[in-house]
Amino acid sequence: MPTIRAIVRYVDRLSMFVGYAVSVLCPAMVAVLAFEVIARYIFGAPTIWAYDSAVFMFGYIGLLAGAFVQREKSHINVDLVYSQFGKRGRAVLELISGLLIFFFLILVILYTWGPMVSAFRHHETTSTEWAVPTGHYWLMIPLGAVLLLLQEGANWIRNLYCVLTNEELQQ
Amino acid sequence: MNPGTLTILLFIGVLLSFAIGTPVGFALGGVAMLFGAFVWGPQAFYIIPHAAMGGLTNFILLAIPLFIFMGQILLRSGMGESMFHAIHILAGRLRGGLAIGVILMCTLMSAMVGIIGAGIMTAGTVAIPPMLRRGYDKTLTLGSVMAGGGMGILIPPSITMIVFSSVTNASLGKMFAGGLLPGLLMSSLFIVYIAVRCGINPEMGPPLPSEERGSAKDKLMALRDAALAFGLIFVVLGSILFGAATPTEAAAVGAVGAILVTLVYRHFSFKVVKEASLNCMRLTAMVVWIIIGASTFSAFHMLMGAGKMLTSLLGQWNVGPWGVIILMQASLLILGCIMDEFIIVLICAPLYTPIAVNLGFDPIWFGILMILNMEIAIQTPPYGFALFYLKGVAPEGTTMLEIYKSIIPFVGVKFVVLITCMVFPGIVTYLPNLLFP
Repeated sequence: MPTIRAIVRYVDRLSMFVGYAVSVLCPAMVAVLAFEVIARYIFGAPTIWAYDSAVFMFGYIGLLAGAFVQREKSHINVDLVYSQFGKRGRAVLELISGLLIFFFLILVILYTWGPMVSAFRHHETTSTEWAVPTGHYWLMIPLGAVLLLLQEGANWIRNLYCVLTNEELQQ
Repeated sequence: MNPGTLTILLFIGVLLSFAIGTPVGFALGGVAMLFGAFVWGPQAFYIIPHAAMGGLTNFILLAIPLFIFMGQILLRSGMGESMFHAIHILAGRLRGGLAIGVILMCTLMSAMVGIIGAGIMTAGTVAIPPMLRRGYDKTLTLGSVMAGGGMGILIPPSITMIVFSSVTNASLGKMFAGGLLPGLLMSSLFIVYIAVRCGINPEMGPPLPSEERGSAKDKLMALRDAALAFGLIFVVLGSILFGAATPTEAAAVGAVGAILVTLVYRHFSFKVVKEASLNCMRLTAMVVWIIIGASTFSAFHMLMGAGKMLTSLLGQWNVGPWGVIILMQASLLILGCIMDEFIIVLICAPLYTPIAVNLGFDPIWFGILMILNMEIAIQTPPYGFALFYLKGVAPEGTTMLEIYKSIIPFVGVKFVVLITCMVFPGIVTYLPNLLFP
């Protein structure tokens, strides 16, 4: 049991750490695009890197922070029926949801792996003038999904514990 | 199994997984792939990389985190307080002046942010307590905050319109231009309604006593605050509507502008940027994973032939082009009772818009009708999530019943706007055709 508690805690921390880390990219994305507008309209010298890097930042934030949001359970859901249940009832529903989430995320990991590998192997680049490699970007999909999978695994263990013992795993 | 039965089963599956509280993106993607595995085998799973990679290279979607970041900064900029103070001084002596002011303030806020929550939360926090203290009717106060805040998705910029454009390839600049006149019409009708109501019955919105009306200097300061808001709106919307910048670029410039506003009002701090970044990160992650799941779902049910099936079904019913439009809207309103506007647009826009276009309707017009339907749906019980935002900022002890009651006349006004836009499509299409010929 202590091992399981420790694992769940580490997964939580990992999701939080990654979320906080990528949140820095939000103002960076604003700065890059604002710089591009100024460079183009005021100095008449558009950059070739602003668009691609802004798109990359968008994807990095969104894909990697999925686990952070899942830890907080704030991914948008329809809680019309769900909110009628008590704590244990919700845990049971979340166990069922969890299976669907595992299924989808595992497919995401398995089927976005191939395009990522081929992007690295064939040195694929963006179709813009900058022509920067795209492999790292496609790596973020399976990576983000793995982080989410870990976090949902931690949530699942917590819910199972709650259903079996009617107590919280931590605190 | 024929596509009809399959579509029905697919939707039942989605509704079941929604009901047990599965996050929407995973529910859509997961259920679609379960059916895919069953109907086509593992081949169906190749939809996932296609859908995910398409969503992640869509430059339009980039505007979403940028507008969210801008809105998050503005929420903390002190602009809401300053605007309400300006309204207090400039319009306080009118009957219902503060309620009218709330509508004006929300109209301006809506022209800066693209979501519903921002307007309701700002107006709700800064305006509800002083209005109630001055004897404004509670129903009118709550209703005007809700109605005003709800315009966030109709008056450009609008996250919902960004989603619509990204899934239908309709021009985002045109969508923004199309929402402007209906938004102003709605805002004016709200003001007329409040003025008439309070004109007949001044107890609902009493004028402020003369000592609260402020000196000439106060009025000048109030005008400066208003000018600042107009300046920011002009930079963001102006540059999009006059074609000087793409919506994504305008959003980035607007975010920088929002930071400048925060500096002017002396609310700027590291904490403001940090909180805005964290919320921007959260919302971006929600959007990205919903888009991965929802595009997987859309791609799957399109490949299965749901679009063709719907077209032939509507053809068999023989209701005529307008009948089709009305049926589609009815379905949007019903769906709006159980899910977010964001999700509805992601699922329904790619399915409905081509049908409407084939019947000879303008895609921008249809998109704006869809937004107007969402406007109504988000404020209608039981689910309407704008209701819950309002509950969050309403004074303690406010019941859901009071909130439901407060919105009835305003939802009536929204129906009037919807019908006006259907009967006179020019209200929607005039500006887009003028600005983007």
